[in-house]
This record gives sequence, C-alpha cells and structure tokens, in this order.
Amino acid sequence: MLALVGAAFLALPIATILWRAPWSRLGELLASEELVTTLRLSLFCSLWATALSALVGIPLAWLLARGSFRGKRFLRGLVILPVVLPPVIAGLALITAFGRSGVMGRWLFETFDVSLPFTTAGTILAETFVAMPFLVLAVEGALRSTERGYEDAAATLGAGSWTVFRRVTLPAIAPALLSGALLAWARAIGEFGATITFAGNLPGATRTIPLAAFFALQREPEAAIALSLVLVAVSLGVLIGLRDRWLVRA
Amino acid sequence: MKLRADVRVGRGDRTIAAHVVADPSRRVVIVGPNGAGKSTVLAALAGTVRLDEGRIELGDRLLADTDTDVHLGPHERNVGVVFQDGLLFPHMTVLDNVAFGPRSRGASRDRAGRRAREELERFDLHSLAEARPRALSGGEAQRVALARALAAGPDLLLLDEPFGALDVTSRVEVRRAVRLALDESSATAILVTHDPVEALAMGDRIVVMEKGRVSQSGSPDEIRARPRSAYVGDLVGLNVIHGRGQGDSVEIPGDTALTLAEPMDGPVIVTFHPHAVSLHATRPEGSMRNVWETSVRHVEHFGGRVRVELDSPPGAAVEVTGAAASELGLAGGRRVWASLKATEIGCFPA
Repeated sequence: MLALVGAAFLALPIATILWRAPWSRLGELLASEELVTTLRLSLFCSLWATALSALVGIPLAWLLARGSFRGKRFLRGLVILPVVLPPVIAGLALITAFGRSGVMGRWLFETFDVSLPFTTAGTILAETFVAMPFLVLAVEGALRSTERGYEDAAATLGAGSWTVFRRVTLPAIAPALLSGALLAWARAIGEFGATITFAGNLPGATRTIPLAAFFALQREPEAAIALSLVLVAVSLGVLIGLRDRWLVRA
Repeated sequence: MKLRADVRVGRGDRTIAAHVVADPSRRVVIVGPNGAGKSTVLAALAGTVRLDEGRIELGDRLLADTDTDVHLGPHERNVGVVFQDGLLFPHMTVLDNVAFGPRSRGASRDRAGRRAREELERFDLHSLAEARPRALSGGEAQRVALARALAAGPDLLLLDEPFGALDVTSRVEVRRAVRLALDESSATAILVTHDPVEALAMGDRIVVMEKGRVSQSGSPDEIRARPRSAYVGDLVGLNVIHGRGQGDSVEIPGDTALTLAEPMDGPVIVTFHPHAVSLHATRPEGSMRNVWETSVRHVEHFGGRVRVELDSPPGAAVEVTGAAASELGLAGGRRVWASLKATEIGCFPA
C-alpha cells in the first residue's frame, strides 16, 4: 500500500505536467524568439560542459583507476563532492574561486582581462562543475573493470601510451564513456542553482532552460510548462538511452 | 639475438629470481609448477614488470639495468609476447589485430595490412581475416595471437603457456604452429609451460623454476640424466631422493639405506625408475642387497598398469602390472617387501 503511495507520489507530478501542458500552443510557444534563444543557449552550454568534462574528466578517471599515490581516496572524495553539494553552495564556491575578486578570478582578470561571472563561459563553468563527477565516476568504473592485459599486449606490440589509449583503452571504455557523458549532459542542461548563483540570469547569455522556466512561472505559466516539457523529454531520452545499464537490473 | 638476463623481482613477501640466457639456436623452455614465478620472469623480460635488481641485455641493446637505472618500456623493447589467453583486442578484426604491431611501429595502413595478410597466410588463417576474436575457437585465437606477435618482427619472442587454456586437439594444432614459427623465425624464443612433457619435447635448454628460484637448468638429456628435485624427477619419470653416501651405502629418509654399485661419499642424489622396484608379499629370496619392508600409501590405476606410492622411501613411486597388483592385493596400508637392484640406482653428488 505504502509502495503504491510512493509510486503515485513520484508519478503524479510528471503526469500532471503532461496533462496541463498547452499541447495546442506548444509549437508556437517553443518557436517564440525568446525561447529559441534560451534553448539554443542551453544546448550550447551543456554540450560545452560535457566536452570539457570529458577533456579533463577522462585523464582524472584514469589517474583514479590506475594511479597509486597518497591521497587517492581524498581525491576521489573531492570528485564526488559536487554530486552531494547543494548547487547554490557550488555556485558560491565558484564565486570565491573564479569571481572577479576570487583567488583565480582576480588573476584571470588582471592577466588576461577575462571575467567569468555573468557570462556564457561562466554558465559553462558552473555546469561543468556539477556535471563532471558523473562522467569521471562512470569512466573510472569502466577503467577498473577492463583487462589490463590488453594494454600490456598493445605495448609489447610497440604501441606507445597514447596509441594504447586511443586504440585499445578508449574502445573498451566507450560504452561507459557514452553513458557517463549522457548523464553529465543531462545534469548540465538541468543545472539551476550553481548557474544562477555564479552566472546570473541574463537573457541570451546565461539564462538557460531551467532559469527561464523558473522566472516564466510568474508571468507566463504556460511557457514555463512548455520549457519544462523540454527537460522532461531530455530526462526521458537519457533514461531510454541508458536503459540497458539501469533498467535491466531486475 | 642473444638474450642475457638476470632478473630479480619482489612479489609480496617473496622474491622471484632467475638467470636466463637464450639465443636463436637454442630454444629455451622455462618449466615449473604453477606459482613458481615463471610468468613474472617473462613479464620482467617484456618490460611490463620492473626489475628490483638485475640487468637484461638483448643483442647489443640494454633493456634494463638497475645499476644504471635503465628501464625501457615494453613498447621500446621489441619483445613479442603470446599470452596464455591470447588477449586479442575484442573490438578489432583478426586482420587489424595482426596489423596492430606494424601500425604501431609506423607502417602505413596498406603496408601493415599486407604484412598482416602474409602472416595470416603463413598460419593458414587468411580465411578468418575479417572475423572478430570472439568468433574464433581457442586454437584459432592462439594462432592469431602468434601471428600478431610475429608480425611486429620481435627480436625476442616470449610464449607464456600458449597451450595452457586449450583442449587436446587444438593443443596439437597450436603446437604445430609454434614449431613452424620458431623454425622459420630468426627471433630468440622462450617458452613457459607447467607441462614437463611439453618442456622436454620443445626445449633445447630447460630452465626449471620452483618457488621463485631456478632449481636446475640444462639440456633435456642433462635434466633426464640428473634430476635434482622431486619435481624434476616427476618431470622425467624418475624417483629423486636426497641422501648421504658412505662407501657403497646411502642413508635416505625413512630410516633406510640403499646399497650402490659404486661407492659415493657425502651429500648425494639417488635416482631410480619406478619400474626398477619389485614388490613381494614375503621377503624375497636371492642375492639382492636392497630389500626392505614398507607400507603402501596410495594406489593408482592407469591403463593396464598400477602406480604405487610407498611409505619408505617417503613418497617413492613404483610401477607394477595390473596382474601383479591384484595378486599382491595392493591397497593403501598394505605391508609389502620391496627390492631394488643396486645397478638400477643412479647416484651423483648433490
């Protein structure tokens, strides 16, 4: 009985959002110039965040899976932290680091005249911060479970470490990398707290779908729901994409 | 190319140490029970494991030397390895697997492909070029692994139990391929196996490893003639017993003494063939001087023959016919008399 209550509790809000959705006006709403800008920006930022996560996350995962050094558990803890950290706090942390008067931010501003807060780059940074752990953890798990012997075999055939990685390791972890990237992307495109804290809510620059949905709720609830539908679709898409890894566990 | 290696590698609480010399004219086989450290020695030669102490020279190249802190990575050594479980890259076709070596060494895609096809042709594998490794039988996979290692043109070829995971039929097929490969290739080869028959059949020089150490090395004939441990004795089908000689008598464990045909003093190793011992229900008559009473530990039937393990000398193996065994009523615990001619006993200094 309580299980049914639990299931209903989880299902009802999603069902009502679909039920209350302005299906007839959906095309028109999503086609409005403002929303198109928001969607495009969201896609742009989340894809960049995913790419950055992969760029530095794969080497980080490799270090965690293969390295042996002091403080490895500490480092893994650090990697997982953004997953459990409240996003607003993550945003505040980013300000103290990369804000105009932050530790790195001041140096960036004074040396390169680069300022990250309230910019699209800042949004990407905030999204990367919260999304990367998902990718790192997925890839690390895959690296751990792949047979080291294949890499040794490749090396005895004359392959240097980059060739070994590109032609042997990467294909072996590709499925995990894909699902990790998908998760990271879903997390990035839905990111709210860290983005609004660090990058603000500037239309066309930092206002992504979740922010737009939140602020549209007051003026234009129908637009808010239309935007929400986009994210529901993204979530469902990711879930379907990962069904082999998650849903078949039973 | 001549290999000279002094290998010492710590593994947990023990050390694996071996001295290995090999060249193309002498095929070296490292043989020993599981866990003796054979694969660790190969890994050290291949460069996937670092030496704790020692030096490896291949031709005029220094591959590793702990004194001068030299350690070439596996990709810089030109040492090929055939692994026990093949380790073919599962996401590549057979052809791409074999072409991997030449590609990694900078050959163009075309050239590497041609080189791979040649190698596949040689091992009669060309029809499998486009197959994926998981579609291959165990024997085919191992032959592809061999072709892959050779396509990279190694100076030294290491074969780590290449027949270990195979059934009997494919073992014959892969053994033939290895023979072909070694006879035609100019590479120096080292084969590792735990199978004594394989070792004696394929090696020009046998290195026996036990408990992380080389317990004996020499030509198959030397090993057959003078086994120095019970393991090597099993390997060549002889009983090997350490004892102490005094004149023409040797004291051996189990409070027994054996009489020799020729006198020998000090620590000695005595050997005798399981056939050489006769078993009797009562004390045998005659001039034989080596006669003793003992219990039977264990009886094992195979084919028409029976293998009997004695209490004295401890663990000594005796082989009798099935008819003799049933006549004597041989079973664990049975008291019997054993006799052994002095001229059947081999003896050499330990």
